[in-house]
Amino acid sequence: MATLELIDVCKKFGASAVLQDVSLSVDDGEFVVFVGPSGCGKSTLLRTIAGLEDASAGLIRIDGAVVNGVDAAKRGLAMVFQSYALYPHMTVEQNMAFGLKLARLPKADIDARIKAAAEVLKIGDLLGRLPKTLSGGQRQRVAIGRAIVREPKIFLFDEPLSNLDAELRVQMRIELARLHARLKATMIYVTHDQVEAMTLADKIVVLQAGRVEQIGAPLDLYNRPANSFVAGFIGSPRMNFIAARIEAIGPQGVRAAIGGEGDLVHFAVDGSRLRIGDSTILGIRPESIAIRPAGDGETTGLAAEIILDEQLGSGTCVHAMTRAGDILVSYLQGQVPLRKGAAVRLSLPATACHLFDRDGTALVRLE
Amino acid sequence: MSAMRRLGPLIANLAMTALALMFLYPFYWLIVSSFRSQEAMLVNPLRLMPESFDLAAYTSIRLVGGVPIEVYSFNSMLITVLATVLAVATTALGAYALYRRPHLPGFKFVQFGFLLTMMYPAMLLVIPVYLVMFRIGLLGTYAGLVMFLALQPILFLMFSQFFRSIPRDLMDSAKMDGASEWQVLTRVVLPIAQPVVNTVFLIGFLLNWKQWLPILVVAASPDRYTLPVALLAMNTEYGINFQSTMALAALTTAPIVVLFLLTQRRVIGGFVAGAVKG
Ligand SMILES: Nc1ncnc2c1ncn2[C@@H]1O[C@H](COP(=O)(O)OP(=O)(O)OP(=O)(O)O)[C@@H](O)[C@H]1O
Ligand SMILES: [Mg+2]
Repeated sequence: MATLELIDVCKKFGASAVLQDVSLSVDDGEFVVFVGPSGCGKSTLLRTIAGLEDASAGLIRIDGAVVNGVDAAKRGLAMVFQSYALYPHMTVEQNMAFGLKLARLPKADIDARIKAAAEVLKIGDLLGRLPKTLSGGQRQRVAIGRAIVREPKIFLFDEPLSNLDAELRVQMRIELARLHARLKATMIYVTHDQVEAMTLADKIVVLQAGRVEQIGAPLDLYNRPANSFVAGFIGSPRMNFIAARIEAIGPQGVRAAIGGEGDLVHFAVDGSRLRIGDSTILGIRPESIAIRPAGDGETTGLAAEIILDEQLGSGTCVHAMTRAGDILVSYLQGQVPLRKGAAVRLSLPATACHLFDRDGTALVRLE
Repeated sequence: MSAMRRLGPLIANLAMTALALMFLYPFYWLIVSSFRSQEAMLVNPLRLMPESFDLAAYTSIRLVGGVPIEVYSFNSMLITVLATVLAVATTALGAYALYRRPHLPGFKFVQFGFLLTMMYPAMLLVIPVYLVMFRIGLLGTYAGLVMFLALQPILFLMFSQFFRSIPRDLMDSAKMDGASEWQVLTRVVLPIAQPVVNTVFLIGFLLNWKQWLPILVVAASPDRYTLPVALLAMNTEYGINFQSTMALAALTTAPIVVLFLLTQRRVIGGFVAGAVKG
């Protein structure tokens, strides 16, 4: 039950800067997910919050109080590790009681808390077992249970599900969401899986190379990515990116030519910072691209040829190559009978097209 | 094919038995010889059974170099136990500190220094050790002997190796549970390390038990000698008394054989625990 605030937090290991000017705030009861590619500094950021690493610069506040320099043991946080990190010589019950015993809680309280947590996590009949006799999923529950009984100010999770198989991962994801709803605790969760991020988070923090790329609610990031990195990282299948050259700028948006043929696409974005002839990048999500068979005198949209179709059952992923050689992926609902080699027309709706300048920064969308 | 499959283990077993016998034979010979007279031994050194169980040698070593054998035994036990306890405690804590905080200033140097002492030939240490012990007034004292024997870089290496196999998350997890650095050590690391501590203790004990050169150097008089040094002292200007030497050697070896047999299972368990991660 706490708030967290980071102000310009930096972390250096020797000469290499792993975190650079990370600023963010977490509200009481919020579920915040740190997401980003491998090696971007997610774990380091989490460990810095935990106090397992010292910030090289910047401030960390928990409930308003600066905790830089406060020992990890004294910050009142609990962490669930990717490796579970259960004490191998202690039973499940002893694992869960460890932190409480160190805090000198009365035995009755300890027992009551363990009982309650075991019930929530359905590990009641494992209490007498040693960690080595448990399955991965059971260990994960115990690790979460060990955090719950501490009633920490903030829960920290470092990729807690990544060692589980796909099915169990989905199941545990749902249980974690329920757990959060039930405990109403502040939780910070690290993952490189954007689906986990989208489904669990109240707020997502996208990190890349130690910097915050964007912070926002899942759908905000999805609908209004601040830059091409976030746009590409959030959403599956991935957003399409193709080069576009600015041809016209007006109050309703801009027009840009894509491909060698100069097919014009309209964007509902603020073009006041652009000039005619600027090279930019068009981004469009696969599900926003509509496909119609070519012919029938159809002239709107981009002419393209289907080079690959992936039938997923619930939907179809169509890879189409334009005459300029750009490949666009379109995701269509249902089982669409489009086959390789078919000539089609792709329509890119203006409201669904994102435009990024040469640095990858998104142009502001007109509402 | 199936004949090969049955022959393979058979040959391996035979080879191992032969090897084991090769190592066991000298000990057997030592014990047998301690019951035989010097003359008989010279006539027929390789006899497998003694002519009679002659205990004369064992009574003859009641006094070695004018000092009762009990004194040597007591010295051996006292010095070995104390030195090994001290060695295990210091190397375990030292290796743990180096493992937990490898980047503290000077730690790299300490680690390097430890390795250096392992490569340095013990013989070359005789004069400096003598001088240092003399200067600090520990020459001929139990404290001096214990302290010198407690310097055991090999134990340090064994602990280092083991600590490195403990996942770091485990200690971080204990920190998050509110454990102080001391509690991390006593509540988490040491219980996990128990079999390794046992193993290292036993190895340290064996190494210290058989030491003689540093004891000869640091102990100023025979009443601080240990059994191996007494054994050395039996080699007098009057020649070697084989039978008594063998008897003393048997007495010197017996405690560690018993100790090893008693703890063998745990020690081998410790080796395995150290080798397999997690
Ligand atoms: N103790 C350390 N010493 C030196 N460099 C480190 C240390 N810990 C992490 N790093 C470096 O910091 C960078 C970020 O590491 P971090 O573990 O935070 O990444 P991550 O985002 O959690 O990646 P993953 O998704 O693979 O877990 C990496 O380049 C890593 O090599
Ligand atoms: Mg990580």
